[in-house]
Amino acid sequence: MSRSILEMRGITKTFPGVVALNQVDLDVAPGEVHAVVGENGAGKSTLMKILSGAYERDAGSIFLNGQPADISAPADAIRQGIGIVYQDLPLVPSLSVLANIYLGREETGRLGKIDRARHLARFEQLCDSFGIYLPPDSRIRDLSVAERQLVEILKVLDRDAQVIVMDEPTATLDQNAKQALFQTVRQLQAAGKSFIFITHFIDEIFEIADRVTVLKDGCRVDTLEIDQTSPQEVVAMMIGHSPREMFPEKTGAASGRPILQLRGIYIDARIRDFSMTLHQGEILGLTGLVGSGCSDIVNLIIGNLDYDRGAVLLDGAPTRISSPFEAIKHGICLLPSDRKGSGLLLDFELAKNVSLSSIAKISPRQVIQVQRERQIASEFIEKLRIVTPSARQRVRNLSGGNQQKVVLARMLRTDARILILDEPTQGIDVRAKEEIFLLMRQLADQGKAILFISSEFKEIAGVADRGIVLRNGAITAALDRDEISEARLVAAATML
Amino acid sequence: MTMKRGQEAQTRFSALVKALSLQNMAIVYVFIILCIVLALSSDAFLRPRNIINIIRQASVVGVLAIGMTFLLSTAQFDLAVGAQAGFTGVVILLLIPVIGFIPALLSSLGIAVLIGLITGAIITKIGVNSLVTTLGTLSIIKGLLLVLTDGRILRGATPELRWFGSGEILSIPFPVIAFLGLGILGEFVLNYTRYGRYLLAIGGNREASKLAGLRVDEIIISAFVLSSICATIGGIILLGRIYSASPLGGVGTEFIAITAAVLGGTSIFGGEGSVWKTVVAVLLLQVLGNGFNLLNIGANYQELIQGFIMIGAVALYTYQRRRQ
Ligand SMILES: Nc1ncnc2c1ncn2[C@@H]1O[C@H](COP(=O)(O)OP(=O)(O)OP(=O)(O)O)[C@@H](O)[C@H]1O
Ligand SMILES: [Mg+2]
Repeated sequence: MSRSILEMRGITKTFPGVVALNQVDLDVAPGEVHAVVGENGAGKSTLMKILSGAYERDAGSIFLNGQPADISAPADAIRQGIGIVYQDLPLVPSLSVLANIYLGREETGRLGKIDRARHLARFEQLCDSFGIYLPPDSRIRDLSVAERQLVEILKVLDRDAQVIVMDEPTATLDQNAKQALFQTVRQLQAAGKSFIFITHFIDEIFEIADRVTVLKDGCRVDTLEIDQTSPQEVVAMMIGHSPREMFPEKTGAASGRPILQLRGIYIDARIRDFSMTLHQGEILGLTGLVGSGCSDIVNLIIGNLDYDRGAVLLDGAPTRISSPFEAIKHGICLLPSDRKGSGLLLDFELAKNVSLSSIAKISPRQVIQVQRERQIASEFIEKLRIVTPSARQRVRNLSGGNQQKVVLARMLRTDARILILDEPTQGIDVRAKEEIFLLMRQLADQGKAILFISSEFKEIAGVADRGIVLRNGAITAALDRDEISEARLVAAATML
Repeated sequence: MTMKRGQEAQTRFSALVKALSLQNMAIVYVFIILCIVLALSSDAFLRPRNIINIIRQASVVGVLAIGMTFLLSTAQFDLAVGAQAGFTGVVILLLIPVIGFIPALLSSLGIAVLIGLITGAIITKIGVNSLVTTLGTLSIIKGLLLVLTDGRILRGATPELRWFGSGEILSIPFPVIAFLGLGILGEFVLNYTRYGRYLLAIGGNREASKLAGLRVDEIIISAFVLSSICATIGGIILLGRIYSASPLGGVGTEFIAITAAVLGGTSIFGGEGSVWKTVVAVLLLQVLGNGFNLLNIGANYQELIQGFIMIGAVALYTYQRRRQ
């Protein structure tokens, strides 16, 4: 390795009741893609927040190009060439791409008028030199997640970032968008930019990274050259023992009673002639690229979206579900995909988040039994291995993956017999994924019907008894247990 | 990860420390300090008569502020409650000669429910925000007041009505009982019951609450109904205390109610609310006025000082929260 562009030495950070980072080292070479992996709560995001100046470190030092760097606020990091592509993409939805990129740094002409022409020229030069294309005048709200990510990347490039940090950039991308992002990363890498790349998908790091640093419980386990290690070794380091089989055995009863049926559903021009049958005791996979219509189907089932034609049958009887409240009354429970926006009460403590859907059970006579509520939360903390100092921790302070487990716990507390899991493994580490898959299988074996929506074809193929693939609002494949495979799902979703 | 016993005790201790922290209790400490200062500088202050008087004077704003705390917890508010309190007085005085005392009282409560339902439905079902909607209802109610009174002050309070202003149970005036009673009830409902949890959850994240199966719209509407009923109770007390209803009665009180709720630490963005601290804040504002009288400073300064206290307290809450 040539000289490092970035070195972090002995970084330590504690929160009340948590040692998030303990003497962690990280160095990044020019033009390198350096992956950082670890279980939920291992400290990956915290390390990046220290690098970006969002958190103050308790101990340790940071060097840029061999010189000690003073980073105590986000502005310091930006000035010294560190660019963060935030996962929640903090852009102004109502403003254009151009306006967002130059927000706060507008060049102005006479009378303080914003000099659009200069911005556009700079933007085009930037796009050309890195081989990126984006429509400068589109509003952010009209862009896909992948395109928004590009806006963020352009933003940091325009500020001349040398090291670009991406915290789980692929968590919300489908396969196509992922490949496009990797393409961009490779182009930028060729132009000498360095990346720190956080992900829970181990195969991704073997595709894109040069080296990988493994964190566990706030400590650095090791840093490895990618071509001298294997996915098994990396996972073993992350979890402290050799990995088990990721997917549980498929036991879905083919004979189960049909519980939920959709027949010939049409929604505007978006969904055309969609039918599916969900049986008791099975896991049915539903997949497709972003925009394929999977989320419309979810919203329809839980009564959040109306359909124009077709029928929904519950236990064989036509049923109109017109709100999530009614869906729950019918025993249908959703785990929403966007945990921050539509899953969690971020400023509420963990226990209250867990009990939200089942509070009537904890408080039969209106008055909430707080002790019981916390005790239930503690049980889930143990069962799902949620990393938190206590059941009273604010959910905002949990790591991303642990937040996801909290939403999952809420769903498990309800008596629902139809579970709709929309991207349940988003941001979750390998071990927790394996546990969730096992849990899903156990629930199915107990007689629940599970609809599993995921844009990870591998997970659908590995977990679901049967799979349905959507493309542009129409079913392109319905695969039975002996037909379902990653390759066929990919083919049906992309029509390659 | 199970907690060990010692750890649990420690968690509990740190929870207590946090509960008593400046961030959480600033308003209470300010109130206590103010009372001590006043008690030291004036003998009259601590006399039971004076204390009861303060609470009674605070009761109208107090009842409104309790309702407002419920609304704010769900991230809504209502600018029309002050005018609605005044409106109640006019309605009752106009109705008594026609249908008698009890029916008039019940009608005013019925109207309150109706106003709450309509306001809530416009806000949830149509989706107009609460600022615009309640600015509208404020204007409508003010207009109705002028039309109904023709701009004159209405008199004619009956003895029964006066009871709501100065009647006593066990020598405690009714307004005091209503105010403190609603305060205790409100605190209990908001922070210890399912319904209260739902209000706070909706204020914390409406979308998440909806997907978790809460009847979000209905619950928000119910908060408007509750607040509207509180406004009417406030209006009845007001009528009982001043025996008359003017076209401008009550108008403006909503701002003191919002001030008090916010002073008490209830977030205008929802998700957090404390009725008992709202009660303390209402009393604080009242004591301030009372203190000015006792110390002969003149009531003109009250709003001025009130403004500084409000911004100071909220700045403190916000600053402490951001540092976390
Ligand atoms: N602001 C905070 N206050 C308290 N604890 C925090 C805070 N931020 C992070 N933590 C804790 O520090 C630990 C590390 O969190 P971090 O977010 O860095 O994990 P992560 O490796 O990014 O996990 P994930 O894969 O789930 O995103 C966790 O136990 C988390 O609960
Ligand atoms: Mg993270």
